[in-house]
Amino acid sequence: VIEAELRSTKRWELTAEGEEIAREGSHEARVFHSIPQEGLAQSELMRLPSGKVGFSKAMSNKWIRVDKSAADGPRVFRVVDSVDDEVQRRLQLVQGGQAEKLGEKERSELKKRKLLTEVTLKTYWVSKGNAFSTSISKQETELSPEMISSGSWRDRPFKPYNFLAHGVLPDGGHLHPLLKVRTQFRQIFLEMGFTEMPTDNFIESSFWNFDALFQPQQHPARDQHDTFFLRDPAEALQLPMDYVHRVKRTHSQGGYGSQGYKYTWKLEEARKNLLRTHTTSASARALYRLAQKKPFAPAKYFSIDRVFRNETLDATHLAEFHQIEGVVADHGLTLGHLMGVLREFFTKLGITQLRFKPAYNPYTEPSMEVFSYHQGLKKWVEVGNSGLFRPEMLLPMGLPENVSVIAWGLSLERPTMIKYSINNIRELVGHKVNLQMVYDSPLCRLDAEPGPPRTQGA
Amino acid sequence: MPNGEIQKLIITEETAKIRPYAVAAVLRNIKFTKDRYDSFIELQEKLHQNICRKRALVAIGTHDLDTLSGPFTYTAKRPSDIKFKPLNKTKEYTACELMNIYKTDNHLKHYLHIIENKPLYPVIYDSNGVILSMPPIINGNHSKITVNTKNVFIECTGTDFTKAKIVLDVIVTMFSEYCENQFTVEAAEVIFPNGKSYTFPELAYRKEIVRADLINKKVGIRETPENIAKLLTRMYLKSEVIGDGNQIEIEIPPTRADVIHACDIVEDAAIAYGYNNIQMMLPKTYTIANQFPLNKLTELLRHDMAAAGFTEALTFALCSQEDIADKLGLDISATKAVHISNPKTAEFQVARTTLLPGLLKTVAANRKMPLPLKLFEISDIVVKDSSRDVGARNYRHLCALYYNKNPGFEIIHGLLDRIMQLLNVPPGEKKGGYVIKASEGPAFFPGRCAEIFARGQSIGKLGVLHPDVITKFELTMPCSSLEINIEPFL
Repeated sequence: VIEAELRSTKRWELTAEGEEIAREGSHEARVFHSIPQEGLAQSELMRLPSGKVGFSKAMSNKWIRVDKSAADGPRVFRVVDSVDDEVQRRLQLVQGGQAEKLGEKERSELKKRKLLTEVTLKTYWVSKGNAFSTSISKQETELSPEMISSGSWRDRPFKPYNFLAHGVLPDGGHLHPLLKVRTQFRQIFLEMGFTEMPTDNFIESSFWNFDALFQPQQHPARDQHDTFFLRDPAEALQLPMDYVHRVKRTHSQGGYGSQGYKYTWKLEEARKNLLRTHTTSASARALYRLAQKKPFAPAKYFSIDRVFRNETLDATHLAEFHQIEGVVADHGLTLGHLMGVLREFFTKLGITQLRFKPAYNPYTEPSMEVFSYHQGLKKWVEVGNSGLFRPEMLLPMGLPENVSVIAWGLSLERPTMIKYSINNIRELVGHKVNLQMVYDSPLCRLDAEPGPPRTQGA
Repeated sequence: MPNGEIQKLIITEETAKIRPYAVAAVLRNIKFTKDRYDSFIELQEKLHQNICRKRALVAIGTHDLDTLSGPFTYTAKRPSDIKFKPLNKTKEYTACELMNIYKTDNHLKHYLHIIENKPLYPVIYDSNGVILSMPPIINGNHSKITVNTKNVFIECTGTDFTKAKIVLDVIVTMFSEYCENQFTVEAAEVIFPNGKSYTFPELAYRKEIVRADLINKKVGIRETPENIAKLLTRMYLKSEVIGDGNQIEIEIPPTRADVIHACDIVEDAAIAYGYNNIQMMLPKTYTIANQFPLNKLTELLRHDMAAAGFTEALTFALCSQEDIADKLGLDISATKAVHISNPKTAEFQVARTTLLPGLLKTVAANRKMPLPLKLFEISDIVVKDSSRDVGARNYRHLCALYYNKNPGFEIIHGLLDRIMQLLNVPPGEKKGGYVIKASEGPAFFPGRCAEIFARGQSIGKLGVLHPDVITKFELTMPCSSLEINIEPFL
């Protein structure tokens, strides 16, 4: 009916002190004028009303000087014959409405001396809107049951809709973006025939987390600095002892075609409990169970679950994150097969350009880092780590010699942060999550157009 | 072998308890330039950081042999009995004083812990009582190496004999090139407390025989044995085809102590071939996929919880003791929580035994959001359990909370009813049904708490939270919550 426009203007005004100075002159000028030809005792000067304030200013302007050696105490003398009271002049300009004639520096100096203030004036300009009317008629906003049954809707005016306004968002709940991505990854693995491994154990023994994976006991990752060890329960209660002995022998003396690490392997080190640093420990347990089943049947496993690292924390790293892991165990698998599986897996994520680079993991050899080309960043970024598990890990489990196990892993947080454009991991994971982001996050659609497999079966 | 007497290093039994192993060798008539000298120092630092595991396993000391006179003694003495002028200092200090001085040295302070609290510190002397070094901390200034040093005495001490030998092999193979007699290293003799004497460096070259078709099969390529031998030789693993034409004999030099199995050789062959040149193939492995039942159930429930109007949170599994005990009116010993050793901060003291604190902290961090806040999480908690092989286990919990100007008990109760409906658990005490019974708990407002029984067991509690809990989590509105274990519904 009406339109209102806010306009604000700023003006410079004198403070009360500023007005006094515009009238009487600045403190320093008054000090100057009160000094006669023969000078004035400083003590007397200080007793004058503008004395204290004006004295130091007049000194720094070099209008007056002090003779400390005078007979009856320090005496103040004029240095120049006359002075130009700039301050008073400037204030009078402002008073006369000509504040813009002063430079910004001069204005801020006067503001600092509390002689000027900036005043904001807000005004509302009211004008007739496009539905202006001086009569009040109640417009029907909505159709009602009564109108339908009586037909009275035909005679009523209906207020036009503003289609530019937002609707009322439905009052439903929301799923967490990271877990939406997790759902998609689970789907991808299931579509590729991978069976989900049990990973519902955050607590693991060093044996399954490190030793069974042929990671030596002196490896730096087993340091307190990278791994969360437990105070209670500090040690694993049970370990499969036959298998433990085979692992011990492989580490310390070698065997299964290996030289081993040739160090003294200690059982108490393997017993130490910790918060698992990777879900590869769950893969080890699954492969061990697979090895006990005779005859050997090929298997494809996956898991997506939480892991814990005691590392330095920053904008993209937390102590807890989620690891995605895929494993294929079969006869005669090669590095070429690993690359083929990765190609299909990443295609389902919408990533088609892949390159592979040699890498190092204590428990895989050969190992590969997987890179994809990021269109936005215009560079190759690492999207995963992979390799063939070492024979020193597989053979003590009892897996047949010509069975190879290929595996790969990546974190869940990284692709999620890229997908949802989140820079700080704390806004995504943990209690400091940005709930509005959770409310607003779109469906997780990882892939482009789905298509038939691009790799030849062999 | 040396022209004169072989250098000897005698180890005494005092080292046994602290740093038992030592190896040594000599680089004779070496010509350093500034670059080579810098590289020599850098190599030692890199080895210290990696294979020596920050000097804990092995420490390297290199000395100007012309300033010393053998035979050398490696022993361990009380810190107060060790006094010398360490590298780059101008006066002598006892070992105790040095430990103090180096506490503020940014480089050396990280290694003090290796010997700090031991009764005896390792130390190496020459025949005139000059101290070469106090491993693994610092060398003596007397035998300092400079660009002009001609003869280098290298000693490596440590707790891992294999690694010490490897480290020595690496140093001498990498720097013997600069000796007058190129690629020659002079042996040294080390005599152990039991009288056994060894000559170092071992320079362990090893030969391994691998079938060519094994390499082809593992990589997924089809190269001739000759080509494979060429690829490996390019990777500094000198190889040649032997026997029936299918076998390859590979010479593994001491600088490749990482090659311990044929699979290491396979990787080098693949790298030489070029990973991106390998043809990608799909495995024929045919398998039917299965979901892990607990995760399958979780996925189904999550979606219906969101449909019921609740928003999913994802909170940390690690937290402070206070979060799961004091703030909920409990004593930590009653929680059967798993405790982490040496947590850096309070946030990493324990693993959570309940999902409630995480959700309450999520509300606290999102105070500006419009009310009501309705949150849920279906995730694992951890408790001690001696029936498990590691002594602890996870349980899959479902927790929901309602935070508003009114507590909303009926809403949380309604949510429970809905969950039971979804799980096909009928109301009522008869077999397979669920019922709630009035209960108490320090975290709940008196008279506003109930325990939930389903399928014959207690599965959790629901109720209005106690005001103490609300204030301890820095919240101000009433709140009701529900937490159950969903595993009985598998």
